[in-house]
Amino acid sequence: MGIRSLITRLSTTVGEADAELLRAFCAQQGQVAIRDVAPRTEVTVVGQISSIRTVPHAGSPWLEVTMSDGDESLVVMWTGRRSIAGVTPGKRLAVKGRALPLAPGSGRLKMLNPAYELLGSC
Amino acid sequence: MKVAIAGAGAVGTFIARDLAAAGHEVHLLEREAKVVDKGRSATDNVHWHAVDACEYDSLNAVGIGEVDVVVAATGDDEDNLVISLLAKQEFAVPRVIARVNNPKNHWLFDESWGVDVAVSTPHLLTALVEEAVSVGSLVRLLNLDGGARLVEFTLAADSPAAGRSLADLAVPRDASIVAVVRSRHVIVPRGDTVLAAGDEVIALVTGDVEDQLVRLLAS
Repeated sequence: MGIRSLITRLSTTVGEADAELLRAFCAQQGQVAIRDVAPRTEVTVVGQISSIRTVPHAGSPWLEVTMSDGDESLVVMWTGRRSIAGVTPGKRLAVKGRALPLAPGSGRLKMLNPAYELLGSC
Repeated sequence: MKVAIAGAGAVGTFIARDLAAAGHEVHLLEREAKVVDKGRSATDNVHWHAVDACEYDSLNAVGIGEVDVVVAATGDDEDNLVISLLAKQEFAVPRVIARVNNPKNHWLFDESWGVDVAVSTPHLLTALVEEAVSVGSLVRLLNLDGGARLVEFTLAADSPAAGRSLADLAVPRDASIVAVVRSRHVIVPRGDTVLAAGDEVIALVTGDVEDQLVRLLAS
């Protein structure tokens, strides 16, 4: 290892290093990157769960999961659920479905009740 | 705009023709082939499909993945819910409008079922009847998703708001006056707009501030 790359490694923050690892993992899965997801087309995306909350919507709890692929994040909502076994912060998962804008005119995307696959944690 | 309407009954057919006449691309989905054959000959610019709108595959074949609005206008509330859910969840349709046939089912037509706007004829009729006797009282016109609703208030002669400007009125937070209708003219409300008796004030409110608004406008 050259001295230059050693310095680069030592000077990156933990957050950047984590994001780099996550990017490498997601690229390796060979799926569409979240920033390239076109709304309303069926896609599979891979990412790591950064946060989870339960939000009341229309009188029932919705599980709102934010997942990131190191560059961009995607909100996934499961209606009528408080929790899903295995879906916890830090876990990596693949979700398959059609994304729609988080709010009308918003650039960020969400998926409603996608099919999902747990890929383990880092 | 690309619109898909499920159910070619009187309601669905009327909406379809109306929208097609306004220049939109309209797809009408009907389960009964006979109805489709009969309707197709008479209509222009409406794309008829003899399919069951409650099936994922038939919706997919019609191209629901690209439409901007889905209207579930069948005469059956269960069907309308299934169509709304499929449209929102499987095809990520930006706007889903559902017809409520039995007002007792109105509570079901919400976000959990993918419905953005629920239209209930009996509720509309109540609103219209209320409107007829409505001088000096608040009429709810439309419930929007997110808890806001559009209300109308016709100012009585003795309303405390008559003769005052909107800035003067200090409309509560979470309420916004969106239009004032005066002798068939729409006035865009500004701070210096002065209200007069007989004005129809259209406002957007959330539930809590409705009473406060009424207190401002009613005597």
